[in-house]
Amino acid sequence: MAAIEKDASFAGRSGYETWVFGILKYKILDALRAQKRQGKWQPLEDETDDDAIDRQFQQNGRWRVEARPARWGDPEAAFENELFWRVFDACMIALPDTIARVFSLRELMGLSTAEICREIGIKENNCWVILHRARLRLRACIEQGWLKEAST
Amino acid sequence: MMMCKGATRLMSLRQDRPLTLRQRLSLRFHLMMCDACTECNRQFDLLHEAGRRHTPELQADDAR
Repeated sequence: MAAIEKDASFAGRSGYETWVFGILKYKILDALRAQKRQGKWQPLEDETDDDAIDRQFQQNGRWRVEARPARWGDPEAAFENELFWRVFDACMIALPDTIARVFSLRELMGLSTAEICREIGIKENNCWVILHRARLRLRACIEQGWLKEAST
Repeated sequence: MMMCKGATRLMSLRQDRPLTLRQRLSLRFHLMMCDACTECNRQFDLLHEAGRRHTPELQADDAR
């Protein structure tokens, strides 16, 4: 755990932010461990039966026409847009708990999948499947909420 | 031949660990032919960067 504390992923953050992230990280890890202890952890070894993903792809693995990713434009413009962050947060909250927690540890707190899996005691493959789902759900949600909203 | 769904799996994986040479080539080949996946790949990059820039104050609600 100490090694994670020294992780370079916190470089550039203020002391306060590092402190808040540290507490959050433990809270999220505890929640995930508790979930696993209570047997509420689905193995998620493969891509089977995830509605949110099935809604984006046809049986043959191609994008559904209505779900095809659109151009989001310049990332810097998005990051400066307050609406983008509101939609991002709303979409994070809409994620199922397990997926939201693993995604937060990976992308918001910068832990590696190896670290996440070691801390929770799951297989790394499990993490990759969860993160794939998280990203597909987030991209669909953000595209709905942000691009469509911005164009009206 | 890898389809879009499989391509997004590799796009996601490459945010978390380096792809093997074989994975890199098959993703690159798919992206050359598929505009939708090219956009998806950019979106995953953007999500990664957004996560890095996200502030902990906003994030507090997500710990649940």
